[in-house]
Amino acid sequence: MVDYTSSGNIRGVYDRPSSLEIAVRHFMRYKPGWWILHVIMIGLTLYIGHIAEFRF
Amino acid sequence: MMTKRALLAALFLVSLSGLMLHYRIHSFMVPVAGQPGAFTFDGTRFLSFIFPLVDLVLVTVLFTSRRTAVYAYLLNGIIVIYGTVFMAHFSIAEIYAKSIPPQAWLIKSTMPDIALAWCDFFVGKALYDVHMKG
Repeated sequence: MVDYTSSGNIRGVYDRPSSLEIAVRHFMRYKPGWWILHVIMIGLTLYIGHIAEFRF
Repeated sequence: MMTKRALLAALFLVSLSGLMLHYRIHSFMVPVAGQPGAFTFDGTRFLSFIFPLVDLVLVTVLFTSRRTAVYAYLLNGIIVIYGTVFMAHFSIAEIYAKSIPPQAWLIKSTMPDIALAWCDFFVGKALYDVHMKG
């Protein structure tokens, strides 16, 4: 059975999401806060690794 | 409720012990060689003070409520992972710096301290599980 969209295209043939849309959807699968938190934590880890110095 | 209180007390005492031990073993104000009474600030040692302090104050407070327990669990995990990496690195650096023989590597390492940090984590995990189920 053919499924018509409002634009008249057959779904799955002409309305296929672009690769950019797939990438954005994959990225936004998690909320922005999740990414911000991870970037902050990775940055903090790298910064701490940079400043840490053990003296004996 | 009683289990929560007992676990919270255990978490508080473990983190307090961690903070006090770090401060006693290596305080962040280091005496300057050749200058009696003079102290200098050591950033790396300060990290070993500030992380247990956050563990003691912020993590304990966040663990008191069910709503914020997930953030406490996350922060507790982060602090324990940092502690594990730092203490392991500290041990390896000490082995090199003091030329400790291989047969003494394990006993002179910070492995017991790392295990205590993980005790803190698992007490936190138990508290989180009780919060979620109870």
